[in-house]
Amino acid sequence: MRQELANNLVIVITVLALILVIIFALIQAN
Amino acid sequence: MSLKRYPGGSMRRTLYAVIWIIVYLALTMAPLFALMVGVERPGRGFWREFSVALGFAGLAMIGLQFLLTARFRSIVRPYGVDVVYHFHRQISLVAFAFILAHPLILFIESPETVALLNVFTAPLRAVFGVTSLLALLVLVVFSVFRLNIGLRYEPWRISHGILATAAVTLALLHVVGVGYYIDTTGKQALWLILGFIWVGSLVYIRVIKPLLLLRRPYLVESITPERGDTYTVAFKAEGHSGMKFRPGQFAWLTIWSSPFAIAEHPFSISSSALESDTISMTIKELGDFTSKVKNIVPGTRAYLDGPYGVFSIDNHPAPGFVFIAGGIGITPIISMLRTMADRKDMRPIILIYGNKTWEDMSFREEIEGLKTKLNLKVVHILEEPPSAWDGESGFVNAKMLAKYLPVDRMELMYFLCGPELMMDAVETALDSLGITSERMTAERFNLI
Repeated sequence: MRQELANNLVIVITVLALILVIIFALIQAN
Repeated sequence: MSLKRYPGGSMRRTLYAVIWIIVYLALTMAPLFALMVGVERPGRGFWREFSVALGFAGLAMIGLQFLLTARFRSIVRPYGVDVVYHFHRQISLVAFAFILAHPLILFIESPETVALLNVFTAPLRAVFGVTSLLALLVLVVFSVFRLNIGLRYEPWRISHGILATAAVTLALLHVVGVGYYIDTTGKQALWLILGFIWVGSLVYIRVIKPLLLLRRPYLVESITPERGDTYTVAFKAEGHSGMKFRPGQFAWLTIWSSPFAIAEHPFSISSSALESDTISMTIKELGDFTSKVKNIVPGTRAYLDGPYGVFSIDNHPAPGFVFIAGGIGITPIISMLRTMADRKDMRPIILIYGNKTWEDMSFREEIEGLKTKLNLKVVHILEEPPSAWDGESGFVNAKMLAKYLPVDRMELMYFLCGPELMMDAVETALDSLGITSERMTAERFNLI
Protein backbone atom coordinates (compact mmCIF):
# COMPACT_ATOMS: atom_id res chain seq x y z
CA MET A 1 0.00 0.00 0.00
CA ARG A 2 2.73 2.45 1.02
CA GLN A 3 4.90 1.34 -1.88
CA GLU A 4 1.94 1.89 -4.21
CA LEU A 5 1.81 5.44 -2.90
CA ALA A 6 5.46 5.96 -3.88
CA ASN A 7 4.82 4.30 -7.26
CA ASN A 8 1.90 6.64 -7.91
CA LEU A 9 4.06 9.65 -7.04
CA VAL A 10 6.70 8.39 -9.48
CA ILE A 11 4.12 7.95 -12.26
CA VAL A 12 2.58 11.41 -11.78
CA ILE A 13 5.99 13.10 -11.58
CA THR A 14 7.27 11.26 -14.66
CA VAL A 15 4.26 12.27 -16.75
CA LEU A 16 4.40 15.91 -15.60
CA ALA A 17 8.18 16.06 -16.09
CA LEU A 18 7.82 14.69 -19.62
CA ILE A 19 5.14 17.27 -20.41
CA LEU A 20 7.41 20.06 -19.13
CA VAL A 21 10.36 18.71 -21.12
CA ILE A 22 8.21 18.65 -24.27
CA ILE A 23 7.02 22.22 -23.60
CA PHE A 24 10.67 23.28 -23.21
CA ALA A 25 11.61 21.57 -26.48
CA LEU A 26 8.63 23.05 -28.37
CA ILE A 27 9.47 26.56 -27.20
CA GLN A 28 13.18 26.19 -27.94
CA ALA A 29 12.76 24.38 -31.25
CA ASN A 30 11.70 27.50 -33.15
CA MET B 1 -15.44 7.84 21.42
CA SER B 2 -16.33 9.90 18.39
CA LEU B 3 -14.56 9.39 15.10
CA LYS B 4 -14.57 13.16 14.63
CA ARG B 5 -11.70 13.49 17.07
CA TYR B 6 -9.60 11.23 14.89
CA PRO B 7 -9.94 12.37 11.29
CA GLY B 8 -8.70 9.96 8.63
CA GLY B 9 -5.54 10.95 6.80
CA SER B 10 -7.12 11.16 3.37
CA MET B 11 -7.12 14.97 2.98
CA ARG B 12 -3.73 15.31 4.62
CA ARG B 13 -2.28 12.58 2.45
CA THR B 14 -3.56 14.23 -0.75
CA LEU B 15 -2.15 17.56 0.38
CA TYR B 16 1.26 15.99 1.10
CA ALA B 17 1.22 14.32 -2.31
CA VAL B 18 0.40 17.59 -4.11
CA ILE B 19 3.08 19.51 -2.18
CA TRP B 20 5.62 16.73 -2.77
CA ILE B 21 4.94 16.73 -6.53
CA ILE B 22 5.09 20.54 -6.82
CA VAL B 23 8.33 20.81 -4.83
CA TYR B 24 9.91 17.90 -6.70
CA LEU B 25 9.01 19.33 -10.12
CA ALA B 26 10.11 22.83 -9.07
CA LEU B 27 13.52 21.55 -7.97
CA THR B 28 14.06 19.44 -11.09
CA MET B 29 12.41 21.54 -13.79
CA ALA B 30 13.11 25.14 -12.69
CA PRO B 31 16.86 24.77 -13.44
CA LEU B 32 15.89 23.57 -16.93
CA PHE B 33 13.55 26.47 -17.62
CA ALA B 34 16.13 28.92 -16.23
CA LEU B 35 18.28 27.92 -19.21
CA MET B 36 15.76 29.52 -21.58
CA VAL B 37 16.50 32.97 -20.21
CA GLY B 38 18.39 35.12 -22.70
CA VAL B 39 18.66 32.51 -25.47
CA GLU B 40 18.12 34.30 -28.78
CA ARG B 41 19.70 31.80 -31.15
CA PRO B 42 17.54 30.10 -33.79
CA GLY B 43 16.12 26.78 -32.63
CA ARG B 44 17.87 23.48 -33.46
CA GLY B 45 14.69 21.51 -34.08
CA PHE B 46 12.34 19.70 -31.69
CA TRP B 47 14.20 16.42 -31.31
CA ARG B 48 17.56 17.97 -30.48
CA GLU B 49 15.97 20.31 -27.92
CA PHE B 50 13.90 17.44 -26.53
CA SER B 51 17.03 15.31 -26.16
CA VAL B 52 18.91 18.13 -24.42
CA ALA B 53 15.96 18.85 -22.09
CA LEU B 54 15.77 15.16 -21.13
CA GLY B 55 19.47 15.27 -20.26
CA PHE B 56 19.08 18.34 -18.04
CA ALA B 57 15.90 17.04 -16.39
CA GLY B 58 17.48 13.62 -15.78
CA LEU B 59 20.58 15.24 -14.27
CA ALA B 60 18.48 17.38 -11.91
CA MET B 61 16.52 14.27 -10.88
CA ILE B 62 19.72 12.33 -10.18
CA GLY B 63 21.04 15.32 -8.24
CA LEU B 64 17.95 15.44 -6.08
CA GLN B 65 18.48 11.77 -5.21
CA PHE B 66 21.29 12.88 -2.89
CA LEU B 67 18.85 15.00 -0.89
CA LEU B 68 16.22 12.25 -0.72
CA THR B 69 18.59 9.84 1.02
CA ALA B 70 20.33 12.36 3.29
CA ARG B 71 17.65 11.63 5.93
CA PHE B 72 16.63 15.27 6.33
CA ARG B 73 13.68 14.96 8.70
CA SER B 74 11.57 17.54 6.88
CA ILE B 75 11.88 15.49 3.68
CA VAL B 76 11.16 12.08 5.16
CA ARG B 77 8.59 13.06 7.80
CA PRO B 78 5.45 13.38 5.65
CA TYR B 79 5.71 9.87 4.22
CA GLY B 80 8.23 7.96 6.25
CA VAL B 81 11.66 6.85 5.20
CA ASP B 82 10.46 3.59 3.57
CA VAL B 83 8.26 5.45 1.07
CA VAL B 84 11.01 7.98 0.37
CA TYR B 85 13.57 5.21 -0.25
CA HIS B 86 11.15 3.33 -2.49
CA PHE B 87 10.51 6.58 -4.39
CA HIS B 88 14.31 7.08 -4.60
CA ARG B 89 14.69 3.64 -6.22
CA GLN B 90 11.84 4.00 -8.69
CA ILE B 91 12.51 7.60 -9.76
CA SER B 92 16.18 6.75 -10.34
CA LEU B 93 15.11 4.40 -13.13
CA VAL B 94 13.06 7.21 -14.70
CA ALA B 95 15.99 9.64 -14.41
CA PHE B 96 18.32 7.02 -15.91
CA ALA B 97 15.89 6.51 -18.81
CA PHE B 98 15.78 10.30 -19.41
CA ILE B 99 19.59 10.52 -19.40
CA LEU B 100 20.00 7.46 -21.63
CA ALA B 101 17.43 8.87 -24.08
CA HIS B 102 19.50 12.08 -24.39
CA PRO B 103 22.35 10.57 -26.49
CA LEU B 104 20.12 7.97 -28.16
CA ILE B 105 17.81 10.64 -29.61
CA LEU B 106 20.87 12.63 -30.72
CA PHE B 107 22.30 9.56 -32.49
CA ILE B 108 19.04 9.05 -34.39
CA GLU B 109 18.59 12.73 -35.17
CA SER B 110 22.24 13.29 -36.19
CA PRO B 111 23.89 9.90 -36.91
CA GLU B 112 27.34 11.52 -37.18
CA THR B 113 27.24 12.16 -33.41
CA VAL B 114 27.73 8.40 -32.80
CA ALA B 115 31.45 9.10 -33.33
CA LEU B 116 31.39 10.95 -29.98
CA LEU B 117 31.23 7.56 -28.28
CA ASN B 118 34.87 6.96 -29.19
CA VAL B 119 36.57 8.33 -26.10
CA PHE B 120 39.96 8.35 -27.85
CA THR B 121 38.95 10.75 -30.58
CA ALA B 122 35.98 12.58 -29.07
CA PRO B 123 36.32 16.03 -27.53
CA LEU B 124 36.65 16.13 -23.75
CA ARG B 125 33.06 17.37 -23.23
CA ALA B 126 31.75 14.21 -24.94
CA VAL B 127 34.13 12.02 -22.90
CA PHE B 128 32.67 13.55 -19.74
CA GLY B 129 29.15 12.78 -20.96
CA VAL B 130 29.93 9.19 -21.93
CA THR B 131 31.80 8.39 -18.70
CA SER B 132 29.03 9.98 -16.64
CA LEU B 133 26.50 7.73 -18.35
CA LEU B 134 28.74 4.70 -17.78
CA ALA B 135 29.08 5.52 -14.07
CA LEU B 136 25.31 5.78 -13.86
CA LEU B 137 24.84 2.51 -15.73
CA VAL B 138 27.16 0.67 -13.33
CA LEU B 139 25.38 2.29 -10.36
CA VAL B 140 21.96 1.15 -11.61
CA VAL B 141 23.19 -2.38 -12.37
CA PHE B 142 24.83 -2.66 -8.92
CA SER B 143 21.66 -1.44 -7.20
CA VAL B 144 19.06 -3.43 -9.13
CA PHE B 145 21.07 -6.66 -9.28
CA ARG B 146 23.05 -6.31 -6.02
CA LEU B 147 21.88 -9.63 -4.61
CA ASN B 148 22.14 -11.47 -7.95
CA ILE B 149 25.80 -10.47 -8.36
CA GLY B 150 26.56 -11.20 -4.70
CA LEU B 151 27.58 -7.64 -3.83
CA ARG B 152 27.59 -7.13 -0.05
CA TYR B 153 25.74 -4.21 1.52
CA GLU B 154 28.75 -2.20 2.78
CA PRO B 155 30.83 -2.24 -0.44
CA TRP B 156 27.64 -1.54 -2.39
CA ARG B 157 26.94 1.58 -0.30
CA ILE B 158 30.50 2.83 -0.76
CA SER B 159 30.31 2.24 -4.52
CA HIS B 160 26.89 3.89 -4.64
CA GLY B 161 28.18 7.16 -3.16
CA ILE B 162 31.33 7.19 -5.31
CA LEU B 163 29.53 6.36 -8.57
CA ALA B 164 26.74 8.86 -7.90
CA THR B 165 29.21 11.66 -7.14
CA ALA B 166 31.26 10.74 -10.23
CA ALA B 167 28.17 10.61 -12.47
CA VAL B 168 26.90 14.02 -11.35
CA THR B 169 30.33 15.71 -11.44
CA LEU B 170 31.12 14.34 -14.92
CA ALA B 171 27.64 15.32 -16.15
CA LEU B 172 28.12 18.89 -14.90
CA LEU B 173 31.53 19.02 -16.64
CA HIS B 174 29.80 17.75 -19.81
CA VAL B 175 27.14 20.45 -19.52
CA VAL B 176 29.68 23.25 -18.95
CA GLY B 177 31.93 21.80 -21.70
CA VAL B 178 29.14 21.79 -24.29
CA GLY B 179 28.26 25.29 -23.12
CA TYR B 180 25.28 25.74 -25.45
CA TYR B 181 22.83 26.59 -22.70
CA ILE B 182 25.27 27.19 -19.88
CA ASP B 183 26.72 30.20 -21.66
CA THR B 184 26.41 32.92 -19.05
CA THR B 185 28.02 33.25 -15.63
CA GLY B 186 24.57 33.30 -14.02
CA LYS B 187 23.56 29.95 -15.52
CA GLN B 188 26.95 28.40 -14.76
CA ALA B 189 26.63 29.59 -11.17
CA LEU B 190 23.09 28.17 -10.88
CA TRP B 191 24.11 24.67 -12.01
CA LEU B 192 27.33 24.69 -10.03
CA ILE B 193 25.44 25.70 -6.87
CA LEU B 194 22.98 22.89 -7.56
CA GLY B 195 25.91 20.50 -7.91
CA PHE B 196 27.33 21.68 -4.58
CA ILE B 197 23.95 21.23 -2.86
CA TRP B 198 23.58 17.70 -4.26
CA VAL B 199 27.06 16.52 -3.39
CA GLY B 200 26.93 18.61 -0.19
CA SER B 201 24.03 16.53 1.09
CA LEU B 202 26.21 13.44 0.63
CA VAL B 203 28.95 15.20 2.62
CA TYR B 204 26.32 15.99 5.29
CA ILE B 205 25.26 12.36 5.72
CA ARG B 206 28.80 10.95 5.45
CA VAL B 207 30.81 13.58 7.36
CA ILE B 208 28.69 16.06 9.32
CA LYS B 209 26.10 13.58 10.59
CA PRO B 210 28.78 11.10 11.81
CA LEU B 211 30.54 14.00 13.61
CA LEU B 212 27.27 14.82 15.39
CA LEU B 213 26.76 11.14 16.24
CA LEU B 214 30.28 10.91 17.71
CA ARG B 215 29.20 13.46 20.32
CA ARG B 216 26.21 11.32 21.36
CA PRO B 217 27.55 7.80 21.92
CA TYR B 218 25.73 4.93 23.63
CA LEU B 219 27.11 1.99 25.59
CA VAL B 220 25.63 -1.47 25.33
CA GLU B 221 24.12 -2.19 28.73
CA SER B 222 22.90 -5.74 28.20
CA ILE B 223 22.14 -8.46 25.66
CA THR B 224 19.11 -10.57 26.44
CA PRO B 225 18.25 -13.66 24.43
CA GLU B 226 14.57 -13.83 23.47
CA ARG B 227 12.54 -16.60 21.93
CA GLY B 228 13.11 -17.38 18.23
CA ASP B 229 16.86 -16.66 17.65
CA THR B 230 16.27 -13.10 18.72
CA TYR B 231 18.28 -10.81 21.02
CA THR B 232 17.36 -7.61 22.79
CA VAL B 233 20.25 -5.16 22.97
CA ALA B 234 19.85 -2.33 25.50
CA PHE B 235 21.83 0.88 24.88
CA LYS B 236 22.50 3.44 27.61
CA ALA B 237 23.14 7.05 26.60
CA GLU B 238 26.71 8.02 27.52
CA GLY B 239 26.95 11.61 28.73
CA HIS B 240 23.78 12.89 27.09
CA SER B 241 20.03 12.66 27.51
CA GLY B 242 19.43 9.94 24.92
CA MET B 243 16.84 10.03 22.20
CA LYS B 244 13.23 11.12 22.37
CA PHE B 245 11.20 8.93 20.05
CA ARG B 246 7.65 7.95 19.29
CA PRO B 247 6.80 4.29 19.96
CA GLY B 248 7.17 2.29 16.74
CA GLN B 249 9.97 4.41 15.28
CA PHE B 250 13.36 3.05 14.24
CA ALA B 251 17.00 4.17 14.27
CA TRP B 252 20.17 3.32 12.34
CA LEU B 253 22.60 1.37 14.49
CA THR B 254 26.39 1.55 14.13
CA ILE B 255 28.37 -0.79 16.34
CA TRP B 256 31.95 -2.11 16.26
CA SER B 257 32.95 0.80 14.05
CA SER B 258 32.97 4.58 13.89
CA PRO B 259 29.96 6.41 12.51
CA PHE B 260 32.16 7.32 9.54
CA ALA B 261 32.33 3.69 8.46
CA ILE B 262 29.42 2.82 6.25
CA ALA B 263 28.19 0.00 8.44
CA GLU B 264 24.88 1.13 9.87
CA HIS B 265 21.70 -0.92 9.94
CA PRO B 266 18.10 0.14 10.56
CA PHE B 267 16.24 -1.50 13.47
CA SER B 268 12.97 -0.76 15.24
CA ILE B 269 13.24 0.48 18.78
CA SER B 270 11.50 -2.06 21.02
CA SER B 271 11.61 -0.21 24.36
CA SER B 272 9.02 2.15 25.79
CA ALA B 273 9.11 5.73 24.51
CA LEU B 274 8.97 6.89 28.12
CA GLU B 275 12.53 5.67 28.69
CA SER B 276 14.62 7.86 26.42
CA ASP B 277 18.02 7.35 28.09
CA THR B 278 17.98 3.55 27.68
CA ILE B 279 16.95 2.35 24.26
CA SER B 280 16.44 -1.27 23.28
CA MET B 281 16.45 -2.91 19.89
CA THR B 282 15.32 -6.49 19.41
CA ILE B 283 17.14 -8.14 16.55
CA LYS B 284 16.54 -11.51 14.91
CA GLU B 285 19.35 -13.55 13.39
CA LEU B 286 18.62 -13.24 9.69
CA GLY B 287 21.79 -12.20 7.85
CA ASP B 288 25.43 -11.13 7.90
CA PHE B 289 25.17 -8.49 10.58
CA THR B 290 22.24 -9.77 12.62
CA SER B 291 23.86 -13.17 13.15
CA LYS B 292 26.71 -11.44 15.02
CA VAL B 293 24.44 -9.54 17.42
CA LYS B 294 24.64 -12.30 20.05
CA ASN B 295 28.40 -11.69 20.26
CA ILE B 296 28.01 -8.06 21.35
CA VAL B 297 29.73 -7.51 24.70
CA PRO B 298 28.17 -5.18 27.31
CA GLY B 299 30.16 -1.94 27.40
CA THR B 300 30.64 -1.84 23.63
CA ARG B 301 30.22 1.65 22.20
CA ALA B 302 27.42 2.18 19.69
CA TYR B 303 25.84 5.05 17.77
CA LEU B 304 22.16 5.51 17.03
CA ASP B 305 20.96 7.80 14.27
CA GLY B 306 17.28 8.44 14.72
CA PRO B 307 14.48 8.38 15.38
CA TYR B 308 12.86 7.91 11.99
CA GLY B 309 9.55 6.61 10.71
CA VAL B 310 5.85 7.33 11.01
CA PHE B 311 4.78 3.82 12.07
CA SER B 312 3.54 5.02 15.45
CA ILE B 313 0.29 5.33 17.36
CA ASP B 314 1.36 8.93 17.98
CA ASN B 315 1.30 9.62 14.24
CA HIS B 316 -2.06 7.94 13.73
CA PRO B 317 -4.45 8.85 16.55
CA ALA B 318 -7.50 6.58 16.76
CA PRO B 319 -10.05 5.39 19.32
CA GLY B 320 -8.45 1.92 19.21
CA PHE B 321 -5.76 -0.06 17.44
CA VAL B 322 -5.28 -3.36 15.66
CA PHE B 323 -1.67 -4.54 15.54
CA ILE B 324 -0.94 -7.31 13.04
CA ALA B 325 2.58 -8.69 13.44
CA GLY B 326 4.41 -11.50 11.72
CA GLY B 327 7.45 -12.91 13.55
CA ILE B 328 10.07 -10.26 14.28
CA GLY B 329 7.61 -7.63 12.98
CA ILE B 330 6.52 -7.52 16.63
CA THR B 331 9.43 -5.18 17.59
CA PRO B 332 7.86 -1.76 16.78
CA ILE B 333 4.55 -3.10 18.13
CA ILE B 334 6.00 -4.20 21.48
CA SER B 335 7.36 -0.64 21.82
CA MET B 336 3.85 0.72 21.28
CA LEU B 337 2.36 -1.80 23.76
CA ARG B 338 4.99 -1.02 26.41
CA THR B 339 4.52 2.72 25.91
CA MET B 340 0.74 2.45 26.15
CA ALA B 341 1.13 0.46 29.38
CA ASP B 342 3.51 3.11 30.80
CA ARG B 343 1.10 5.85 29.78
CA LYS B 344 -1.83 3.90 31.27
CA ASP B 345 -3.52 4.27 27.89
CA MET B 346 -6.63 2.07 28.03
CA ARG B 347 -7.77 2.42 24.43
CA PRO B 348 -8.75 -1.02 23.08
CA ILE B 349 -6.06 -3.00 21.26
CA ILE B 350 -6.29 -6.21 19.28
CA LEU B 351 -2.94 -7.88 18.64
CA ILE B 352 -2.93 -10.50 15.89
CA TYR B 353 0.44 -12.17 16.12
CA GLY B 354 1.60 -14.77 13.61
CA ASN B 355 4.56 -17.04 14.28
CA LYS B 356 5.97 -20.26 12.97
CA THR B 357 5.83 -22.13 16.28
CA TRP B 358 4.69 -21.52 19.86
CA GLU B 359 8.28 -21.73 21.07
CA ASP B 360 9.54 -19.18 18.49
CA MET B 361 7.23 -16.44 19.69
CA SER B 362 9.26 -13.43 20.87
CA PHE B 363 7.86 -11.62 23.94
CA ARG B 364 5.24 -14.38 24.49
CA GLU B 365 5.28 -14.12 28.28
CA GLU B 366 5.53 -10.33 28.36
CA ILE B 367 2.53 -9.95 26.06
CA GLU B 368 0.55 -12.20 28.41
CA GLY B 369 1.59 -9.93 31.29
CA LEU B 370 0.65 -6.76 29.38
CA LYS B 371 -2.95 -8.00 29.19
CA THR B 372 -3.33 -7.02 32.85
CA LYS B 373 -2.11 -3.45 32.21
CA LEU B 374 -3.81 -2.79 28.88
CA ASN B 375 -7.21 -3.19 27.25
CA LEU B 376 -5.55 -5.87 25.11
CA LYS B 377 -6.91 -8.89 23.28
CA VAL B 378 -4.34 -11.22 21.72
CA VAL B 379 -4.92 -13.65 18.86
CA HIS B 380 -2.04 -16.04 18.18
CA ILE B 381 -1.73 -17.68 14.78
CA LEU B 382 0.75 -20.51 14.38
CA GLU B 383 2.09 -21.82 11.12
CA GLU B 384 3.16 -25.08 12.75
CA PRO B 385 0.91 -25.47 15.81
CA PRO B 386 1.57 -28.11 18.49
CA SER B 387 -0.78 -31.11 18.51
CA ALA B 388 -2.95 -29.83 21.38
CA TRP B 389 -3.34 -26.33 19.86
CA ASP B 390 -6.91 -25.04 19.80
CA GLY B 391 -6.08 -21.54 18.54
CA GLU B 392 -5.74 -20.22 14.99
CA SER B 393 -3.30 -21.83 12.60
CA GLY B 394 -1.95 -21.11 9.13
CA PHE B 395 -1.73 -17.50 7.91
CA VAL B 396 -3.79 -14.39 8.59
CA ASN B 397 -6.74 -14.18 6.20
CA ALA B 398 -9.97 -12.20 5.75
CA LYS B 399 -12.14 -14.87 7.41
CA MET B 400 -9.91 -14.88 10.50
CA LEU B 401 -9.86 -11.09 10.68
CA ALA B 402 -13.65 -10.88 10.30
CA LYS B 403 -13.95 -13.26 13.26
CA TYR B 404 -11.87 -11.13 15.65
CA LEU B 405 -12.39 -7.54 14.52
CA PRO B 406 -15.14 -5.64 16.36
CA VAL B 407 -18.23 -4.12 14.74
CA ASP B 408 -16.71 -0.64 14.88
CA ARG B 409 -13.62 -1.89 13.04
CA MET B 410 -13.80 0.96 10.47
CA GLU B 411 -12.87 3.44 13.22
CA LEU B 412 -9.73 1.64 14.36
CA MET B 413 -6.20 2.18 13.10
CA TYR B 414 -4.36 -0.86 11.70
CA PHE B 415 -0.60 -1.34 12.08
CA LEU B 416 1.02 -4.07 9.98
CA CYS B 417 4.58 -5.27 10.38
CA GLY B 418 5.99 -8.54 9.14
CA PRO B 419 7.22 -10.34 6.05
CA GLU B 420 6.37 -8.72 2.71
CA LEU B 421 4.03 -11.50 1.57
CA MET B 422 2.14 -11.45 4.85
CA MET B 423 1.65 -7.71 4.71
CA ASP B 424 0.44 -7.80 1.11
CA ALA B 425 -2.06 -10.54 2.03
CA VAL B 426 -3.27 -8.69 5.16
CA GLU B 427 -3.68 -5.41 3.26
CA THR B 428 -5.84 -7.20 0.69
CA ALA B 429 -7.82 -8.97 3.43
CA LEU B 430 -8.45 -5.72 5.33
CA ASP B 431 -9.44 -4.02 2.09
CA SER B 432 -12.02 -6.77 1.47
CA LEU B 433 -13.44 -6.06 4.94
CA GLY B 434 -13.97 -2.41 4.04
CA ILE B 435 -10.98 -0.97 5.92
CA THR B 436 -9.73 1.99 3.89
CA SER B 437 -6.03 2.52 3.18
CA GLU B 438 -6.08 5.68 5.34
CA ARG B 439 -6.77 3.43 8.34
CA MET B 440 -3.78 1.17 7.64
CA THR B 441 -0.10 1.76 8.04
CA ALA B 442 2.68 -0.72 7.41
CA GLU B 443 6.37 -0.87 8.24
CA ARG B 444 8.57 -2.35 5.55
CA PHE B 445 12.28 -2.68 6.07
CA ASN B 446 13.46 -3.31 2.53
CA LEU B 447 15.17 0.06 2.47
CA ILE B 448 17.94 -0.99 0.12
